[in-house]
Amino acid sequence: MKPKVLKYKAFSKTPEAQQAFLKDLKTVLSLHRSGNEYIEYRFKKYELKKQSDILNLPFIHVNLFKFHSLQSCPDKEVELRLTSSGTGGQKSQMLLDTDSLQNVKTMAYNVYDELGMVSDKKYNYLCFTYDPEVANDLGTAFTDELLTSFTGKNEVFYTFQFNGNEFVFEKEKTIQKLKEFAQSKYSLRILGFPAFLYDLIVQNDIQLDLGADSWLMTGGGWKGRSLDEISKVEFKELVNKRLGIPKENVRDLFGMVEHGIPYVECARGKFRIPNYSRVIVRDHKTLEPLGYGKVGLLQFICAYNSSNPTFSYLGTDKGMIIESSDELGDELVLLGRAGVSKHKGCALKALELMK
Amino acid sequence: MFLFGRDYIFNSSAKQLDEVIKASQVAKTDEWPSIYRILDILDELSRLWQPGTEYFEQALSDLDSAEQFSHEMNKLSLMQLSGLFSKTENLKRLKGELDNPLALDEFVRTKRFEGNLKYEPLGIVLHITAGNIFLGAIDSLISGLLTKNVSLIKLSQSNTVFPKIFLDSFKVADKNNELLSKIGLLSWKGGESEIETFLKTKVDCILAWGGDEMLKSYKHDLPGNVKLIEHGPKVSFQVLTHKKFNQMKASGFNKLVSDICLWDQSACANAQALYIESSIEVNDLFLKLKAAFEQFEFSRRELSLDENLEKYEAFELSEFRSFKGEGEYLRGNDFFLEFTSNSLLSSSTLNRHLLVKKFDSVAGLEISIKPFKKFLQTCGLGCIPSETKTFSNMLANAGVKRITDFGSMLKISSGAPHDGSYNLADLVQVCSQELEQSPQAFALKMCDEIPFYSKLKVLKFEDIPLANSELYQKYSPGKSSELLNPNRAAGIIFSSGGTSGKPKYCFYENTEFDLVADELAKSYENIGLVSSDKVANLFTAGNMWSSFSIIQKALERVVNEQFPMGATLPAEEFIELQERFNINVVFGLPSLLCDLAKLSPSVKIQKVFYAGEPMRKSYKEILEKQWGVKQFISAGYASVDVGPIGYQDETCEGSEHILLSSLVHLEIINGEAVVTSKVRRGMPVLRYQTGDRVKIIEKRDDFLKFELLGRADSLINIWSSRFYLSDITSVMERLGVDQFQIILESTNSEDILSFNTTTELSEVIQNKILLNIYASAKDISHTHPFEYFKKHCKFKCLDLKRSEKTGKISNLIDLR
Repeated sequence: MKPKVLKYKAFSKTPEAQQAFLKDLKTVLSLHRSGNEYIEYRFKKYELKKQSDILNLPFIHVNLFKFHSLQSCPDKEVELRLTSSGTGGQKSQMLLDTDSLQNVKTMAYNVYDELGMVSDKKYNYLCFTYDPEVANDLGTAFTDELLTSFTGKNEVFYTFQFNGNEFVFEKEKTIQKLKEFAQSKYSLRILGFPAFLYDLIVQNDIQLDLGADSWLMTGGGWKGRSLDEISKVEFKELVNKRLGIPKENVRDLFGMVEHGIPYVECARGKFRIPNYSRVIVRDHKTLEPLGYGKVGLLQFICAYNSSNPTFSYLGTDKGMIIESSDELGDELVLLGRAGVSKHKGCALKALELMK
Repeated sequence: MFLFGRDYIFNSSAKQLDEVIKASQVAKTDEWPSIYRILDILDELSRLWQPGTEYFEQALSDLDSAEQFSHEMNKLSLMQLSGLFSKTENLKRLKGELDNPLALDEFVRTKRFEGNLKYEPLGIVLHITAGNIFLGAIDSLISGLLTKNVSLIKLSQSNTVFPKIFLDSFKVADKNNELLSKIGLLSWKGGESEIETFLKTKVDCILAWGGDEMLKSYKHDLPGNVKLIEHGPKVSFQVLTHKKFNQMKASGFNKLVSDICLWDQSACANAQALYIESSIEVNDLFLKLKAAFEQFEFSRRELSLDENLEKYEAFELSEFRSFKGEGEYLRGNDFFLEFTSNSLLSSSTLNRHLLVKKFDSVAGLEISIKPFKKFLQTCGLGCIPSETKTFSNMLANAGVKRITDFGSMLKISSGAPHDGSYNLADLVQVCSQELEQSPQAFALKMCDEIPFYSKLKVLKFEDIPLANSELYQKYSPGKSSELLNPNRAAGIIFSSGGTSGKPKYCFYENTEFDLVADELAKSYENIGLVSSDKVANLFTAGNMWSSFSIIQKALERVVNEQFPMGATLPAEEFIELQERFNINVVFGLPSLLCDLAKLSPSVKIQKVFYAGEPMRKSYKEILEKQWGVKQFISAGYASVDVGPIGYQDETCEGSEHILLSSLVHLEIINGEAVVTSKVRRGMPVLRYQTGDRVKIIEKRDDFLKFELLGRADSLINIWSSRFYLSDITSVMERLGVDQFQIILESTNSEDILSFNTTTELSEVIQNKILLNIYASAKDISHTHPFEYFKKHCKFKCLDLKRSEKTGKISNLIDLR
């Protein structure tokens, strides 16, 4: 399918653009209901007619996709299969047919473009991820490859390299590469997990000036390792001080392989919700939609994928939405992972039994 | 927070951690109160935490405000506290796990080992407790204190309310800081690796309750000299057979459901899965469970955002399985039943989420649970009695640690091992004293502890004054504590007044009484008592006498069936019971046995174990004739004050006995047996004059055979001459007079010696008796002419007099 919403700017708030999203959602819903028995079973009582009906859109719990394949199209139409990097337990899977894959790329390009991150200039790239030549089904590798396509490319270096058995982090080579890139006539864009970069800078006392046109585009989650100890603001200050990257050029990306919509930080460091999706904050007890500024569970809705029925799911993050006052979309505030309660007792929980 | 007797604000700085460890090491070297004192302090806490007390109500109100559990559940939790601290319960637990609690104070005998044992604490124990309910932390602390370990408790950060009020109550119960000076309560965020790394290198043991991640973190780089006692996460489940299902009423389902609902499944003993026999209809079961869940008295607490999201995930997965025909579900307001066709054990999302699974056979069920052996804890078993054995054996083999009825999964019986192991035993190191038991050293130690002896400042065993019946009478318990150990354990008081009529009592600690029973049991086995013997205990019961009780206890250890009849059972009842149960062995007092035998000639008895009186020839004849007795065995040479001293085996003739050398030490002083107990510490027996004359027959190593020659106090002092009762007895027996009493009376200022016999003696016999006695009792013949002797002796034929107090017939009665 070719979403109608793509005719509009990524952060457009016009009634026409909103209406286009509604229509796309109706199309996606209809496609999956007819192509997927479980979706028909779960959504048969639901009617989507107007914008406000979106608030009542049922959802699938995202973890169902971790345990069961629910594709709505024949295998032969699947162009790309992506899995999440999976921090523990099962991995999520995303299937993209030709159109859906193209939609992902177009949407990403539009979002980055409107946030001022697309350029014709050539850049060097240091990617804290797996070489997509080898890890071609991993979402993060796919994302990095996509992100490097928004500018001209001089040299791309992947920090995780395959040694024949597994991917290993090439620390020494990475430091060497950073130093080389600092001397290059091209500016550098660093992509990938922030925790690795943080450790690299702190543990090796790195002090470089990569220049005012250099960028750090992080993703893959903020938590992890010693990064737990510092805030995102402090991290940006550290990167600025040690690598010479302007703070406004340090942008984080929040994305989920099942969803495919990029939530990218604007220059002010806020994740913006494009018109390609809706995020509904729900009360965790009643599941009723909550207004702006209220913390709850997050339902993610998108309308571009005809192959995988992940158009409406309840995620495992908690957060809230802040209404935007500028030309960009509403702000998505993420407040951490949810759904794995920190069990304080002596009773065994499912995850532990599986180990 | 709190550190060894003082309030302490813990900010987990390196300096403070150092301080905590230094203070712990000091506390480790401090003296501990005795185990019974510890039990008493905890028991005081038990009283302070009775429902309705100030602390109980305050804690209930605080816990309700914290909103972790519902009011009813909080109340239920607090109601467990009193039991956790109770002396009775803790004593039961100590005995169950360590046998003799006194071994926590000093080297003592236990049933574990034929020698002395002492339990040494490990030192400093770091308790990492699960945060689900505070009861776990309290239970862990009690284990630490009972084993005299300095206890550093890491409190869950989610339990901030309870510790303060708990400490307040502890300060009231332990005014002198006897235990509080050994407790540190600290709190830090779980996973703070610096604190954990530091502490785990400084403590002696980590007692860890909780999840896998936490355990892994403590295991990592754990120094070899630090013991880790793991209580990792566990899963519990229930099993329901079709036959039981058909019989179960609503109350049964209510019990089943309580194992799921209590504490909202946060405890390891809560059922998370229910295995049903495959022929049970799921819908039928669901309806019954639904009714029970809806009736359950306590509502579920509000779930957190995380828990709700987990619940929604479970809903989604069950919806999908139901759609695919792989399961069914039923959702209630605060419960969630999910049937899944995958029979492999899995755990639920908790908070009243029950997974229902099916099994086809016992073997099939085993296959479903066995892969999770290391995680299995409790199984609530619902089956009919004929199924119990098969299921229980399979469950034990599969790794289940506890099997209970429905409704009892969360009630841990005191003394039952938690998590398949004995926690108290894990917290101590055992030292066995395999030294030759020196009765002298033991006696001197007792001299230090017992008020009467401690005043004497005795330095050598030989200087310990001889004790006798009079001393024991003077300082008898009930009147005096002079002979009692101030640190004695619980025990039994027996009357040991004897025939003199003056009251006298002695004290046995329960464990001493058990030990005595053990030794007696061994001696009975040695001489031929076998498990298939059916034994009637015909000693007199009650009156605070010891023989009936000790025989009963000893018999418990040997025979499969015993019959506690006592001495007052009417003969016709004895006859009926003997016939009904085929009783072949009796224990009793010879004279009373003879009385009974005369009234029950139809009875057949193979063996007679006797004590209290000698088994005279005439008694033997009666018993052989009336009951056809084949074997007469002494049930032991004993005195109530001392306990058993000797036993007989097949090598012993007449009154020969073998010394119970594991229990007593024997000295012979002026021909009299003087005994020192090697085990009695509650009321020690030190150089006690038994009043019995003995002669050593054989002695090698620990083996000592001796012959009882008669009473030392049966020295007859009359007409300015002295001779022994045995001089008379041997003559009487030689002349065929077996049943007699010598009565010394004073008539008109003249002493008369009367021979009271049960049969009329001819003049010829009377003369023979007198002539023979005169010939053997040299002191008389040297002092008086025969005529004098004859003139002052009388012969009577009356019933033999029994002691009113003991029922025994004494051969010598002095009425002067």
